Amino acid sequence: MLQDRLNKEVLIFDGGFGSQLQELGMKAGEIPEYYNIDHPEMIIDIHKRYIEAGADFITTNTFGANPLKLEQHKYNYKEVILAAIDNAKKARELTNKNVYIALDIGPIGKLMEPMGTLTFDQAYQSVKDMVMLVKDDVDVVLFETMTDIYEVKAGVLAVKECSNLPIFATMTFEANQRSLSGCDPLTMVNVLEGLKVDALGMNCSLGPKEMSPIILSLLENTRFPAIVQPNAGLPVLVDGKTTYPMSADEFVEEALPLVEKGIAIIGGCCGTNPEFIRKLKNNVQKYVTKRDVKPKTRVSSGTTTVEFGHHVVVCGERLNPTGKKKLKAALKEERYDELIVEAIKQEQAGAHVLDVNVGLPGIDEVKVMKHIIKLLQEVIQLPLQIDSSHFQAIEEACRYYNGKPLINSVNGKVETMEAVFPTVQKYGGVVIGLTLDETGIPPLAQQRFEIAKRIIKKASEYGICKEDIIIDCLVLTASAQQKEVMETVKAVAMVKSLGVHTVLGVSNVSFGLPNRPLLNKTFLAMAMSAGLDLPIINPLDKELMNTIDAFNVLYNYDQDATKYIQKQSQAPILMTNSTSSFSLEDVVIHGIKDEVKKATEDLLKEKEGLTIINEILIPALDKIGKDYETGKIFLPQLIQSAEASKIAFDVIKQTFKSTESTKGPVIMATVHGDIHDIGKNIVKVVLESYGYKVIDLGKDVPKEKILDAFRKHHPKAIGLSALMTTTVVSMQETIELLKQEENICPIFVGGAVLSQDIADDIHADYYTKDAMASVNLLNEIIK
Amino acid sequence: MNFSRVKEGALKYLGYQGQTIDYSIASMLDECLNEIDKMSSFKVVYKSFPLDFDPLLIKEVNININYPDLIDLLNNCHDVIIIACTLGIQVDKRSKYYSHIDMTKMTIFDAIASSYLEAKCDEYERHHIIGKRTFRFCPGYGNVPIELNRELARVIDSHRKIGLTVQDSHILLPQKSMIGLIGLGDNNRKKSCKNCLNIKNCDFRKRGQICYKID
Repeated sequence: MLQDRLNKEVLIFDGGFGSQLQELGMKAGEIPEYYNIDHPEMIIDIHKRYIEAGADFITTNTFGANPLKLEQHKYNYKEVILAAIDNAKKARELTNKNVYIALDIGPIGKLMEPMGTLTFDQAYQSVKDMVMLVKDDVDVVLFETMTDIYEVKAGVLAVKECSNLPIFATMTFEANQRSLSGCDPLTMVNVLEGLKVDALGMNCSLGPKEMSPIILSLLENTRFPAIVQPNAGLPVLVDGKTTYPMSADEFVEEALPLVEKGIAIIGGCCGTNPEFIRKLKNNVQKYVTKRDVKPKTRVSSGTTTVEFGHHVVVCGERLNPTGKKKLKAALKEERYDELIVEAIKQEQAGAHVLDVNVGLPGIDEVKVMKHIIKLLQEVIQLPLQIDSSHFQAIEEACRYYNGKPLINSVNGKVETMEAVFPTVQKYGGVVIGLTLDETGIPPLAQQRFEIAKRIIKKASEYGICKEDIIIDCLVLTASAQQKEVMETVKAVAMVKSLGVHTVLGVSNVSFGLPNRPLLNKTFLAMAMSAGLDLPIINPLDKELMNTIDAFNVLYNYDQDATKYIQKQSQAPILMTNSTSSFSLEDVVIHGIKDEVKKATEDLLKEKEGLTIINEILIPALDKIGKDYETGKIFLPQLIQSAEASKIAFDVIKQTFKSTESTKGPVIMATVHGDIHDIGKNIVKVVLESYGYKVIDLGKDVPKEKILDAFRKHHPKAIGLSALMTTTVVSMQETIELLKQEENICPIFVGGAVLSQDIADDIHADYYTKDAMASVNLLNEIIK
Repeated sequence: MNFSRVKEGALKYLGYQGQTIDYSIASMLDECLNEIDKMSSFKVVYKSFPLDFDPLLIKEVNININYPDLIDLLNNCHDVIIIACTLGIQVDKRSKYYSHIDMTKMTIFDAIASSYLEAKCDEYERHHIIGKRTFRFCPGYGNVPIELNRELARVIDSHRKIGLTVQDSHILLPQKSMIGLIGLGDNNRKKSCKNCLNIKNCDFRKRGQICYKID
């Protein structure tokens, strides 16, 4: 059995396949997987030679044989995969050696959401289709040369949900220790350990020598069997041809020390051939070097991993509508952009993890949580904390999350543990356990400690180790339950003795008392001394962040106080309270965004909001618009003024009781298939600067979604954008669909390839050549 | 790397024609350029193939490129290079990031990134492609369909080699990427606007500029 040998014997994979086919005459641009059908004898021969060289595994010639890549080609993926399996089996029979057959799966070849258009479900389905076809004929599934950990996650889940096959997964990293999608080796380890693959590691891109530092750090960090398949050295491009410089002897000389450090499975990638594998087999040690790697508490996004135990980990609390009127409204009105800005602010302020909670009455939490996570992960590098009491929302969020999340939370109630632990176990995650149970929050530290023990024990029944649990001893308010504040601090110290990390929502302590920041930071310092690892706080609160910086020094986390000195020695920026020396008109015309809020507030003391809009903002914008049209200013200056004006509008709007000043709404979208949204975003900001309410549906928006939005928001106009000739078709289809709707509003279109003629052809109502033209149009048609 | 040339190119994309550039925009141009220079990972892959004429073909990989613009470009050339390059996905991500907090900066960032990619590609060409050659021609311009990108990308395995993908709508991702053709041979063709799709509608021309530079 493979599982019995894994991580005990050093197992050998085969070497390069594509480079072997090239030697046999395959030309550039040919699809190597077709050789399974067109030249099966060649494929069988390559397999045979690897088996004879001593490989324990042969890899099917199916790297790119996925349904999405081969959809428009001569043979479909089914024919190709079945032929490939047949060839591998034949080689095995001919050599009469009991080698393992690995189903090879490479990247799909399209970029995944949110940067690309390939969805998680499409990636999942692609792998599932491949595996379902041959799951009884192969011994293991090998994901290799992967660059996006999110795609690997979709693939691993697909294999696990349709088979019991072991999974090996390798990614390819550049010399800068990042994959092309930005994933680092530690993140790969954390995510793949969470998903419980059977072996993980790296292949391709680099030779054994350049890989060495990455592999060593991999071996230090993973408890899982490690698999490595280096190239025959660093590829060199000579006259447009890729060549690999290493000989088999050099390769083996560099590879063996890596095996000595604990590699469990080794083979070759581009440029290696059966000779490399033979020499490897003949010289490699028989048994895997034992490593002693301690489990660690780590959470990850798709690119960044935070490991506990090196510093206090700050969780930003601001993406939670509880007690936040503005955020509530934004969530209800689907103005998700405001959440993203809030997330960016917290990231800039130094948070390490961000809590995300969208629980509001009337909101479909399952759907919204999934959507917000996607939007956040497009711009935020930090790991997220999925915060919900809705079990299905947690499960769905964990499935579609890119990385290994924090999950907030379970508690001592059996029901919640039984609902959430399977999700943690399946997708990987670090889960927060609240020390309350069916009887509520117990008053004494000892009682909370007992609940913590129960949570840890129950988790272990699901195979969740204590490093994947963080205990919340629960903060009570000093104004109402003064006696119990110290019980929380005591409980933190006790729980730490169980070998788990701890979390607290710090600011709860000060509810109902004056000068809350003082209580918050004092309590924070007390709790950190007792062992608090993960305070959930407002990272924009400088006092709290400074307290944490100071603690990191005093606790000897921040060695030589390097970070502290760096931060504290920065001269504080003095915020002057004096009135701005510029008039609001000047500020908008010159786009001085830092001054606009103050200038507007000052002016509001003298004038009514509407008067400011009509007498100052609109004339200033008109001047800017004219200057832009006549070439006195250019694009960045127009946008700068628009952004300044938008801020002024926002300040003024807050003084209004109703929405009397807003015009619109206007729906804007970049059509399906197109991911260029710069033009649309520029139009949006300029429209907003004129006081229009814009509902931005984003990029790559299916026509049905635009129709739904029309029915929901009853806009005064819809603006569609497309950059490419190829996506104008999609624009046309969208217009066709919208025009079937009764009482449809005017539709205006724009984008690099659009012109009045094209707009007429596709039956758009209006064409606007740029942002100013859109404003002029809407001013005319929306009364 | 000639930074002032990158800035010059970016300004042109932004519609600049001699207006006063205030301090904040000037410093944003520098910041964006420095940031892109640090964070981008320029990658390139290319391969050269003999040409067949009448009709114009890259026979070895069975690609028909018999389009008037390419016939014109590759006249007198013996080989053609298929080249692809990219600044990597991190640049796209950063651009998206700025779009949420600072549209002015994002617009400048995007223009700098486009210009930087051009400059990097020019620099690479100068150092690695020796001998007489034509300018780079990218499908999607003139009468050469953008659909050709998919074939070209496959032939040079751009996804595996440099992470450059072609989406269903033929858009290249990462966004700051380029796939082009360069003829090898003695051909005195210069870039011109005559076959551009946008010739009637071109803002550059209205301003008395052209969107490309002539070496």
